[in-house]
This record gives sequence, structure tokens and C-alpha cells, in this order.
Amino acid sequence: MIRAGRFLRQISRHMRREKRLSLGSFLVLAIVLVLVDLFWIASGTINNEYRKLLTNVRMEVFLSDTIPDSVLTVVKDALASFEGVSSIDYISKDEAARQLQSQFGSGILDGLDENPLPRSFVLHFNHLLHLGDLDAMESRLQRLEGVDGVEFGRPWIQKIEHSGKLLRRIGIIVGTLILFVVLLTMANTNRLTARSKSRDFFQLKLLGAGPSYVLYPFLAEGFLSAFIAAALGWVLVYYLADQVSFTTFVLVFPNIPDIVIYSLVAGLTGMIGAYLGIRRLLIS
Amino acid sequence: MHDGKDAMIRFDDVEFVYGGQPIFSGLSFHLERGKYLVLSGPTRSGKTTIVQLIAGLILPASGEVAVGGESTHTVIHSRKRLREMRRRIGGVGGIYSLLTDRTILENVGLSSEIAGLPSRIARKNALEACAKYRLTHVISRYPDRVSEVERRTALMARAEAARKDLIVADSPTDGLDQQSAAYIHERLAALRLAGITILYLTSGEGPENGPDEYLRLSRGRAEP
Repeated sequence: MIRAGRFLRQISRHMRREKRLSLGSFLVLAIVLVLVDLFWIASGTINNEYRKLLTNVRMEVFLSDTIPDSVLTVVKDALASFEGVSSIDYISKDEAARQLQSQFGSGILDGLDENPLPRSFVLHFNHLLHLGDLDAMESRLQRLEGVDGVEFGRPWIQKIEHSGKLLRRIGIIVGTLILFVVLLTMANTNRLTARSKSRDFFQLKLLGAGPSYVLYPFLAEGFLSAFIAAALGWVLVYYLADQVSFTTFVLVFPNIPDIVIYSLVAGLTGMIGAYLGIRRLLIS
Repeated sequence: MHDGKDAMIRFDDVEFVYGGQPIFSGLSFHLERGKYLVLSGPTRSGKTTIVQLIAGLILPASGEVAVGGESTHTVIHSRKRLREMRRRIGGVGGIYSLLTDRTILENVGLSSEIAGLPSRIARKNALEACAKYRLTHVISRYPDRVSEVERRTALMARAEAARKDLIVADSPTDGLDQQSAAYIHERLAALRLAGITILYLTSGEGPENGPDEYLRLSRGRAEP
């Protein structure tokens, strides 16, 4: 308890005496950590939109004109047994015609003796399906008796998946760069702080001070400044997000336990950075 | 004749080379407990090197340096023992200075705090020492806001507050006026009378009153 009090006194003492350096280091760290926050939100939001698009995929199973209406229930039951199918809508020939006319005008089917549109079942899914899953399902459906064809907008899904892969690659590169900038910034700010204290560290060593005077308070300072910078970064991001609104998409924020863990990890990284900053001074 | 085994500081046939140049070649002297020794020598004669050797910051190339009966060659391998040895030394001037982020009072109480005394007692000792060294009016100031003589007397007050066995004063009056220098000498003499061992290093003659012995550094050796 006494030791914790002394640590805090030493930290506040340094911050009071080196106001400009402490504030500068803290702000630089906070700004860099806000970059991580923004990247995190962007990744979460993009991923959410991607999942939403792929979860909303509908698969239309066109039925052969040869199968009688009495067999439709059997086919529907067979379709319902497919994994991931959440609901099935039946589109009769008349309904199909109505939908076509509502899209392209009432005269679209004029001049035809009879309705050429097939009956179909529209499958909805309750979880995300990738192109591979949809292709596999399509080939299984094609083999069902009475199924004439299957349509699920393959080129469109292929484009989404391709874009998703590209965004993931860009994300990894940008994420790595941001992580590198964070580590570099932490290492440099800690090195600067350690350098500003090197004279005092030397004096403490001359007086026979142990690690509780030199190393531990410095590590605690590294942890606290990074932890607070990370937490404050989130406060700032939440405040900014509250000031703007997006109509086309919803921003996805990490949950509070994740933010706490993230801030703790930032604190630990700050502590490691502090150790690396002071290590040379301790050896010399 | 005393063999120096119980001496507070013992340099036995010490050799030290820096940048290819020998600083000491067979330096030997003993400082007995409770005695006051002045070691004088010109600039670059190795006075600060002696302080560094005593503090265990460096080791001699050959020979032995012992503080409080313990060889620095042995002590340096144990962090705990090295810290304990350093805690016995009160430094004034040279490599010893005050911590910039602590007030004069906090600086004066620092050695006691490091020695493990409870904060309350360390503070009480520090206040007493500050009063004794006429520093009461500057106790809440930081070292860069006090005069040079106040900084140096604060270092002496720090040593006294922590009841140090040994004071190493490296050119403690350099740059001070005659009156301030006389005050520092007077305080050192008082510490000697209180039984504290004092090693005074100077490029001049050193104080006239107080020291028990005077040695001169010449050609890397200590001569009477």
C-alpha cells in the first residue's frame, strides 16, 4: 500500500516537473491509439456489412412444369431439410407474372398465349453462406426431381466475396502498419521519458535505491499513461461518433469488456516499452 | 602500524587505465573509520575516478578497493550488497547531485527513505537536518530554484539525515565564494567530530581545520 502510494507520488512528481514532455508523450500516444480505435470500428463495420449482404442471399429454385401441384409439399419438405434454410416462400406462376409486371410494366407479357414463367420456391437462410456453400447446395438441388434450375446471383456474390478478400488483405496491411506505428511511438516516447530521467536514475542508483525506486515506478508510469491514453481515445471516439450519423450503414463498436481488455493490453505494451526504454540505463 | 583491514576506505595497489592512459599505477591509501582525509591533486589526476571506484561504478584493472571492509570486486556481483554499500555513502559534489523532480526537503529525506525508514521518520529527520543546515526557507523549492551553496549543503544535510557512515566530498567548494566555502568546511568538520568518516577530494589545498590527514595525488599515486 505504502509502495503503491510512493509509485503514484513519483509518477505525479515527474509529470508535474516535466509537464510539456509528459503531456506531449501522452497526446502522441492517445492520437496513435485513436487510429487503432478507428481501424477497429472500420473493420467491424465493414465486416458487419459484408455479413449482412451474404446473409441476405436468396436462392430461387425453379420447378418443372411437369410436376403436379400435389407433389409441391414433398419438394418443399426436401428443400426445408437443407442446412441453413430458415424459410421458404412459394411463388406460383401467377405470382411470378405479377412480380415481373410490377417490375417491367403490365405489358411485358402481352402477345404470349400463356404464362411462360415457372413456379418456384425462394429459400431464405439464417446464417452466412459463402460461395462454396451455395455452389454445393445448388448442385444438390439440381439433382432433386422436379427442379428445373437454381438461381442465387452467383456473379454478384462472387464480387462481394472478392471485395471482402481484398478488404481483408488491405486490413491486415493497414493493421500491421498501425501496430508498427503504435509500438514505435511507445518505444520512442518511453525512450524520451527515460532520457529525461536518466540523471535522476543515476543519482538514485548512487544512493543505493532498489528497483522499487527506479524500475517499478517507471514501469507503472508506462502502463498508466498507455492505459489512460487508450481509454481516453475511446471516450473521444464515442463522442465523435455521437456527433455524426450515417444512414447507409451502422457503425459497429467493440463491446465494453473488449475495450477494457484492449486498454489493459495497451497498458502492458506501454509497460514493456518503458522497460525497453529504461533497460539500457539500468545496465549502464 | 594499522594494516588497514578495518579501514572505511582502502585502496591497495590500485591500477586504472582510461582511454589507454594509466590514471593510477599502484594507488594505495587507507581512510580509517571516523577520520577525515583530504586527497588533493590537479585536474585530471583521477579524483572523480576515485569516487566512481568507491561507489562501485567501475572496477580497478588490478589491485583492490574496499569500502567498509568489503571489496568492490566482490560486492559488485551482488546487486543487494552493492546497494547496501552505496547506502553507506553520502556524496557531496562531483557525480553526486540532487534529484531535479524533488523539492529540497524531499531530496534531503531521500536517503533515509531509501534506507527503509518510514516516510514519517524520514521526513522528521529531513526537517531537522534542513533546520541544522539553514535550509528551512527553501525546503519546498526545487533544486533549480536554489543557490549552488544551498544545493551542496542540501547534499550534506541528506547525508546527515540518513546517518551515513561515510561522506565523499568531491570538490565541494568549487565555484563557491570564500564565505560559502568556509561554511561547507565548518559543516564537514562538525560531521567529523560526530564520528563520520570523510574523504575530501580537491584540486586545491582543502580545509585547514578539521582533516586528520592530507595526501597528494601525483603520478597515479597518493603521497603525503
